[in-house]
Amino acid sequence: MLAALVRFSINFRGVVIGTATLLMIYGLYQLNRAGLDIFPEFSPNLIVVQTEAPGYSTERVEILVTRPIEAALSGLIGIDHVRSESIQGLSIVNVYFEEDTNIFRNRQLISERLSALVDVLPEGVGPASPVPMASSSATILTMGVTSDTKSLMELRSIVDWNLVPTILSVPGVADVNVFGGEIKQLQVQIDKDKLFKYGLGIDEVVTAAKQATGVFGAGFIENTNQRLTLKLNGLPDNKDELAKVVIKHIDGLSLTLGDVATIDYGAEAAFSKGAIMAKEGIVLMVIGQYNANTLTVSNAVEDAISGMDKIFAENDVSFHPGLFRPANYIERSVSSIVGHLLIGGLFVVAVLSIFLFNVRTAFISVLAIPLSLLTAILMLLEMGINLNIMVIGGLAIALGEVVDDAIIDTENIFRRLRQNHLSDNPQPLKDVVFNASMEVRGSVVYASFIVALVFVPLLNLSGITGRLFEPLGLAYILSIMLSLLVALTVTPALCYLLLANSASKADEPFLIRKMQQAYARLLRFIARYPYSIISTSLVLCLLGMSILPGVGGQFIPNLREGHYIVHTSSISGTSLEESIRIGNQLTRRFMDIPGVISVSQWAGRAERGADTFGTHYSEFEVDLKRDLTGSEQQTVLDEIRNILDEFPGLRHEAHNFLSERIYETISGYTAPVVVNIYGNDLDALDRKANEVAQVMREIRGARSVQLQSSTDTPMLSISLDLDKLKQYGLAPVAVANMIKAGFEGQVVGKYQDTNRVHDVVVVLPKPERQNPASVSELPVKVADGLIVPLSELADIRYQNGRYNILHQDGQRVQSITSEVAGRDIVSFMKELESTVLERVQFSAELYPEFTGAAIEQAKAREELIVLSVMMMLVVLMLIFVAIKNFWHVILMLLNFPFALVGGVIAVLLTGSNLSVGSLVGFVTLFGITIRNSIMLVSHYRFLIEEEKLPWNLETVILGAQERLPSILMTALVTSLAMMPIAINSDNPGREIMGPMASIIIGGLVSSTILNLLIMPSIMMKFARFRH
Amino acid sequence: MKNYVLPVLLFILLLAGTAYYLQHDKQASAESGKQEIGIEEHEDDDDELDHDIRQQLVQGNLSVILTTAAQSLAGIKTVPAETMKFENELTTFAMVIDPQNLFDLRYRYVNTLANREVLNTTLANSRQVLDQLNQLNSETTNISKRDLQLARSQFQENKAKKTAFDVELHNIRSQMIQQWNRPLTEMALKENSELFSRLTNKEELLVLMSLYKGQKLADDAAFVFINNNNDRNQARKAYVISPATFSNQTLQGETYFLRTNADKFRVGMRLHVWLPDMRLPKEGIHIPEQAVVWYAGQPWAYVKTEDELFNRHSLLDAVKTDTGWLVKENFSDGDQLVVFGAQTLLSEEFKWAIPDEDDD
Repeated sequence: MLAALVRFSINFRGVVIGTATLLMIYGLYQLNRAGLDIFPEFSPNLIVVQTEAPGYSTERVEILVTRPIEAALSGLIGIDHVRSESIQGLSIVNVYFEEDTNIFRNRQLISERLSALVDVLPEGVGPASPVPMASSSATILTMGVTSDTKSLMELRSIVDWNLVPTILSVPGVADVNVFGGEIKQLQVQIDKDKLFKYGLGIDEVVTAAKQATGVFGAGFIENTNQRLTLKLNGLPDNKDELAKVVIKHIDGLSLTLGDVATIDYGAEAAFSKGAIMAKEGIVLMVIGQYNANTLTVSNAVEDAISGMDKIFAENDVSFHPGLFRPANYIERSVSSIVGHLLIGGLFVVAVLSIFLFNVRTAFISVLAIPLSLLTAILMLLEMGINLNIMVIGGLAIALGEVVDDAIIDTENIFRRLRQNHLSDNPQPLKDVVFNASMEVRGSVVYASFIVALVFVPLLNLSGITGRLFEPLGLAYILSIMLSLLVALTVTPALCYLLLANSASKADEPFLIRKMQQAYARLLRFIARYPYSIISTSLVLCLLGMSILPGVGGQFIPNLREGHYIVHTSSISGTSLEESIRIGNQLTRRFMDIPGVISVSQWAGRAERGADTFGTHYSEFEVDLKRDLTGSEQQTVLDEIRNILDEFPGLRHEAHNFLSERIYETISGYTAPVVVNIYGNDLDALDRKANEVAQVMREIRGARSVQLQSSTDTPMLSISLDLDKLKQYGLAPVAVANMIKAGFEGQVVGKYQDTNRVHDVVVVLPKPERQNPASVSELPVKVADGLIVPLSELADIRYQNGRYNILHQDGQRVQSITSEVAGRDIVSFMKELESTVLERVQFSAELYPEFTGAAIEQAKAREELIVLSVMMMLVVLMLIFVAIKNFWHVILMLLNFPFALVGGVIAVLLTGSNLSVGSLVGFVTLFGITIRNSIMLVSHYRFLIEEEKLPWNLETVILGAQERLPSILMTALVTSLAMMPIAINSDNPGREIMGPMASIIIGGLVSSTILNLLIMPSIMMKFARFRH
Repeated sequence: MKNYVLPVLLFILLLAGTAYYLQHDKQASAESGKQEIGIEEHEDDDDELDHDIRQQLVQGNLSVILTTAAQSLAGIKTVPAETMKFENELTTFAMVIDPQNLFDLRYRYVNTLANREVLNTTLANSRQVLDQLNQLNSETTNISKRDLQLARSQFQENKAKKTAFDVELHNIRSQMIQQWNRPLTEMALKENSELFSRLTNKEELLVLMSLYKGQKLADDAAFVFINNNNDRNQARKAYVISPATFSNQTLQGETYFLRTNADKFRVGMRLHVWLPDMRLPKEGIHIPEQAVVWYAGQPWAYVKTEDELFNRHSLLDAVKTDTGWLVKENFSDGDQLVVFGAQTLLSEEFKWAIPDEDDD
């Protein structure tokens, strides 16, 4: 089949070259249109169901909201597991589906189940709805507004009614999370003293306000000729008119809303606050849709809001458009990496021209590279995979094989044509090209498949690693497969077209000739000391391998995004005011760090967000100057961490944005040791969890033992006295409604302010809502018209309560997490499990589960090892098929550690850690080495079996000499192409590919020495060929 | 065959090396589960040790230690605690009531009294007539028995009428006492009562003050302050007459009759009342509201005991005032009270309880 393909390509060279040209043009066209991103979508197959339950306590949210939602969603096809968190006023249910299920179908299934919940959830709660599916990086832009003259309420109105709708209209924007500001309401602020004074109940005020407000339609009148629309006017729609609304008549007097309440515009109870440069304002976070391209959407959003400058200027509003712009990093990375790849490309051309000393040969080799890569890009785009750093990485590391494919073929055809020209019995040129192509083809095909197979485990990695590195693996495999196709079709066709005549007349390239002569002398020298060489190699290998375990590990290297995200968390119960005060203190210090250009903060959570952050939680965006180098950025980060360490009462973390997103996406606990206690009784759960925590603390190596569901949140507990309620003729719900109206506010209607619609709310004035004593004094009207304070009907006391209630697969869970230091985790887990089971009593309703990130990782690692071993066996079989001699396979395998030693030395020299990217570098290296080895062994076999040469030193030297140009060129071209990326890799765009490139370059050096110097000696000494 | 020895040896070595590496790698990964999933050791900024050294036990109490630099960074500010004399006021409501019923009763009383006076005269006359006829009858027996009986029955009738008036007067008085209490009744029935005449002339008004349940009026309280709006500064005095005999329709507490100048008030008006709070101590250390943090079901305030040492003191026995808390124990004059950053100190003290938000 291969022969037919090659022959077809030579015979129909015009068609093949035309198709290739078309593909290149189309590829370039598509490349220009393709969006760029940093990472592929790496978010898990997760649907988040968010339900607001205003005013409900954590326990109520759990029982009345979370449980029904979990019950409704249970049993859906494809669910892997369900976790939920209930906090005051909010329920979040995270439904994780199996990875291979369709996320859109999953969302559809969830939506269908949720629609049936409308009547199940309590009034005023919800609706339960899936949050917009955001891209993995989520944030597209963070911006903010502040003003010296406008109030926070005015600012929020501008944001809600002008800025947010404009941004939401941009395709690719999923949502805009708004932090801070004050949402305008028309508030009927009840004067509780006046309720006592006039003997009125809150419910009477609510009823009066409800009947007075609203936006209604009135229908129309239609007769035989016309339809007349009825327009209803006169409903109170401003504070003065609302104040005139009568509540009731007392002693001939009309008592109005204005008599018992202050009617004024006020702010809705805030979920969050925002500050920019330590000045209170509004922070907006633009969230990208699932699969949306960060760069494209960022630009579109910026275009959309570019016209709003005028509105801001007119309103005396300071707009901060770029508090955080992830696209900056993409732009900088891509321009940096494209620049370096272009420099690398020039190196490729230079090396090929110098080595081949023939413009046409160099042209064919050079052309094959972009053709293979562009075709791979086209296929990736067709598969729906956008261009990102991982895809570019895959293409870049495939460069070695792609270059090799192009060079081997061209060089061999060139050489055979030249030999044919010098031969006494020249063959037809078509046959020479065909035979020369087929001579190397078999081994090239095997080598390509073997290398592709080596990458297959990468496609099967689970979790976030899989999602991140799958596109890299795909890009790599596609590149080498398409490079193989190009080598089978376009290269022979072009060689025949361009070299058939010219190569015949060409001399052997000067440089190659000289190098081959020198190489032969060197090989003869080495052949005299085979054991010394092998021993030296062995020592070097062992040295290299012994270093490897000592090198630090990292999932991904530090990305130099020019931006840091800082999280701070105080004890739960800390107010928004205090969080902002702390934030302002921190912001001022951050701003003093050289290189920081802006700092913004938000505390709490956004209204429609999927986060369950309380008011004690803050996040800071620290943006840096554009031109900071990697090390300068690290200095800023160190300084930020120093300040945070100094600050009392804070737990904190500072990461760059993408690492942050990746860590956030990793499902489950990030703590290495987790003990989950399942049960129904919350108090029993807490007690048992405390017992387990106590046992855990006593185990050697335990650090930072924590209960995940905090029970230290300050609460004011109102326990209604049902006997008293009976005595006063009151229904419990009536009292609950009055409390809600007083402190949460009761929405009674809407009012229209030009084109904006706001809520009308009955609530206590702000000072009353800030004073805990107001709860006891809340007036409640009882059945006989008497007004009694709430303290008369309920036991009101301060107590510590739960901040959140967690569920795992519908069951209440309290988790205890721990770090482990100074001992290995396996023995720690064993001791923990046995000690806990021995010292803590569990029952059928209350039972533990021992888990943790390390356990999960160990499972994943086991799967990977099994898969890798299986793949290695298949690879071994393929190598055996390629070189057809088991003994030669063993000889080849012995050489690999030496090839990898260069990579290890590169890791050491560059001072980098071992990341997944580095491992990919090693895998690539393995591919290149195996390929070169196969080619060398196959060539020896060709010389012996086809050309009938004897197996002796001369044949060994001849075979090696003939392989020298392609091995050397491949190594040089790949190394030089990678060099600009490898140098100074701790800079934007090069963080992931840099270590890969260093390893590949280092490995290529050792692998080339192996293939050129040691392999022939070993083959000479130990290999045997049969004629 | 000899040639195979070295490669086989190498192969075995290689396998052994790989096995060792895998084993080592597995162990290393287990030792740092976090590291495995990518969080570098140094990137986990939550410094376990760092808060351990920020606390110490001082005389059995856990103190927070903060360097001056950290205090400045966290914006912690203190003010000296001061002893304050305190006169807190309670607020409640009153209503200008219509004393017409009192007027009516008084009218009836006075009327009955006048009638009784007239009757007294008539009774005296009839007694005199009866006495004269009795004498004439005994001396001359020249008067008809019929006249004598007529005079006797007239006298008896008048006597009965007087008794009836007495009873009515007693009843009216009782009714007045029942409805308006004794002091007001006394004032109303007192001849030339100044209050009554001022009430009648609408120069003064009668006010019914209702206290919330649990509120008390001092025994010696002579007056309170009232106003028809919530403006305390413009409030005027209203004098306590007596506890009232009926209650307010809306409040459950004690009620009192007050009197006040009529001026701007009219019958039916609902008034705000300010009266001294009897429950509060008159003197104590004042803890401002912003110094108070709640923890474990009770209020606390932090005191800077040394330059770098902060202690948390309980306010469990303190009394809540409008502006903060009044406390007699645990605090002294001049104590450095933390008024900014108390919650930060609480967070620092219970830093171990702050959950890791990423582990959700």
